[in-house]
Amino acid sequence: MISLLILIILGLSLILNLSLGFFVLFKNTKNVINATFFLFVIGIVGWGTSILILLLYGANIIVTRFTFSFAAIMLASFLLFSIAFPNSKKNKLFYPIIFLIATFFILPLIGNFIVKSVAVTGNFITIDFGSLYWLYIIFAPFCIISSLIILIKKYVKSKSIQRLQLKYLFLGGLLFLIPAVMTNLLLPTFFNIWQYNGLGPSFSFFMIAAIAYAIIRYHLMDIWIIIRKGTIFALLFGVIAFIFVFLSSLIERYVSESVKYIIPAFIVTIGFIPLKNLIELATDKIFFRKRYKFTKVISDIEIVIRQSGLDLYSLLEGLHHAIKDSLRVKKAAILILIPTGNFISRHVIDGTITELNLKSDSQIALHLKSCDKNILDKEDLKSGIHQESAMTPEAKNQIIKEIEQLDFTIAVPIKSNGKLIGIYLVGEKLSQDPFTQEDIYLLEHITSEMAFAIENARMYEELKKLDQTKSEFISVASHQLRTPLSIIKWDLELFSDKDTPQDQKNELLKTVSKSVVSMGDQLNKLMIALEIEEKKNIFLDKKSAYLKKLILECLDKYKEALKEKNISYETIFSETLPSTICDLKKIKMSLDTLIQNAITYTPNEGKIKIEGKTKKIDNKDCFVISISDNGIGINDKDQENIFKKFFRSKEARTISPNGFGLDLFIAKKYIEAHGGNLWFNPNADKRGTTFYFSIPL
Amino acid sequence: MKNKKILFIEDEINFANPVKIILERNGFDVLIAKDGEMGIEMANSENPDLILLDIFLPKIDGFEVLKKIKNEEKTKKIPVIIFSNLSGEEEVQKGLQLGAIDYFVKIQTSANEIIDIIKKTLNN
Repeated sequence: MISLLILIILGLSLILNLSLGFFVLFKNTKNVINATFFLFVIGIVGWGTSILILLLYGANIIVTRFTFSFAAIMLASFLLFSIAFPNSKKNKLFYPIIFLIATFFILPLIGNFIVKSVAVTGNFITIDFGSLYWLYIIFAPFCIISSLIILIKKYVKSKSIQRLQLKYLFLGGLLFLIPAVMTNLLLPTFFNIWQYNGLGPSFSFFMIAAIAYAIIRYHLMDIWIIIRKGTIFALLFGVIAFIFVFLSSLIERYVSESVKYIIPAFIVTIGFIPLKNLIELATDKIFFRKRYKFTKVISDIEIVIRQSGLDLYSLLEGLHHAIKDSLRVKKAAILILIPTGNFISRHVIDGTITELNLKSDSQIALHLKSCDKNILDKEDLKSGIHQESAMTPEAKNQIIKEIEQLDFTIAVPIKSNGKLIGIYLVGEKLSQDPFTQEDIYLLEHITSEMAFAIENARMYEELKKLDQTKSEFISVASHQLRTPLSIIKWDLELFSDKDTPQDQKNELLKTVSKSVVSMGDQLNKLMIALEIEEKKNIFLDKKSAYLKKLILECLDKYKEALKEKNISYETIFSETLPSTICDLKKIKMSLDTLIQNAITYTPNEGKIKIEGKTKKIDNKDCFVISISDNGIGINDKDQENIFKKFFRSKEARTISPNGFGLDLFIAKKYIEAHGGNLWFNPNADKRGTTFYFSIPL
Repeated sequence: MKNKKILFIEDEINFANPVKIILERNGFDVLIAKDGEMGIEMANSENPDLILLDIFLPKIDGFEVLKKIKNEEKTKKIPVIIFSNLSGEEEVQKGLQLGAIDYFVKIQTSANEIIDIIKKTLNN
């Protein structure tokens, strides 16, 4: 019964080992650490399997010989691994050792040099050794001792993360040795209990798992937790087995055969929970000191979010503290996307507020924007253990360089609806430990909360701004509409004056009528803007039209204004200009806006150039009109606002104080409704602007 | 007696014209400045007895013009009446704080009212 259980455990551990071996290998087949580790696993699995077969099917000379061959692979490849780990570097001993592996693998298989005969009774294996067996006696300790020397030397010299990796390696070895010494040495030697012998190789799983974790370290399944559990249960098993056997052999003399197991079993049952807690506490104290409770951090975060409301600053600060306290990082910074497309930080955790700036075309930003699985970890990228298929080596090096320049370790994207709105940079941990999978989950969770908070705060700010724009609009609109009204009022005052002669009265009626028209125009634009806002789609009354003719007509309307400011103008049209289908009124209104703006914002004696030609845009034939002036130009900071409704730049208001700031907004919407576009470029000499609009033919 | 000289700083010529004619018929000489800059210049060069000032002005806005006029030794004694279509409490307060003696909203003021206040001011 027990021996069957042992066989099952042994078989299971071999399967687990083999899968871990393949897993690590396929993480990066080109890396020498992954390859030597795989060879080591093959050695262990081959060795364990041969033992399993011997225990199952009895003595077999060929299988026994394979046991020695695989043991040789296991020992020598661990030596190779020790040389390569953790820097992926080979030295000059590397190839001779590979030759040794081949030799010691073949040697037992080709005759009686090592194994002459074998016999199995129960869980025992008895072997009659051959003439060259002494070679193995030298080879095995040589491999083990030199591996140990190499690793200890490396451990002494190593720092931070490498030191930690080596620690895992030793921890893994310990997890293998403690239970194995218990089952295969202590119990048989002191208590003459042999039936657990076959269990020894099973514990190799803990070692394999610990080493695999040390190699891959990040973002794997949470081996951290598995190791912790493994450590606790291995220790628990060892202690209970020892207590059980020790007690039963102690009371053997005083009690009957049946009672001798019941009393220790009773004691072990009562003591199990306290013992487990004690061992858990001790293990955590020694090996897993820096753990935090995931659920507690999450609930802390929720409290922070609830308390800070819509204030972005206090929220971000709160989230920072949650991270600082749980991950214990040196520093962290939230970079937020600003309208220029760059990312800047608003706050840094360690007290010193330094302005951080990450350009939108930096590799980090580009990668985080494009990729789905995309936490960037400097150590991870540097180790080269993972093959990043989505990343060219140049891009990878650039990313490492950028993260180092910023002096951080991890870059986590802050995404909202798939759009990158910020980047969370996290520095090293105070303990210099690497980030675990759990840390990554936590960071992902926190950044999703951040995205939510940033979006909320943005919306709030936008609403505030909208409200402000609205009150500004009311003040501007009331003034705007009062201007023509007050002209009418004062014209009428003069009109009713008995001293006003008839011809002057006629003139006054003309200006009154002009003012009424101007007011009607303004009200009309307001209505259009409101309609566009509400309905979104614009009705087009499409007719065939010659745009060239429209432009010339429009210019004709402004002849006087041009003459008054002494502005010279030039029109250039390519010879074959086809007619277009468009809403005449709407296109006329847009043209009017552009030409009128050009005249208004160009100084006296200035120059305006209007060009019309056909051009392919996005594979569509378009009619493109450019209107270029040498006026005041558009300030850098105003460029993004120029098409927003009610926006008027300070410079524009200085030149012409009256105006709603609706004309360009309406023109753009009208042209876009035609499937075209309205845009502008500052002129090369920085004087004036060129507006372009395209209408598909 | 020589006619009193009024400087009207106003960019909207269609508004300035009827006001000018009405004031002239009431025995004032009226000069018009089309923007803030010109207004300050003319306040200095023309020695007006009173200034009527609009707020929305090209180049330099009315509040700035008022500040400049009140800061200069030569012009600071000239009474300034703001004549604008801005009617917010904030603007009125700002105008009076900057030293205007009164504030009139174009649309709400009749010819008689403005002539009365001008006469009253100049008689004091």
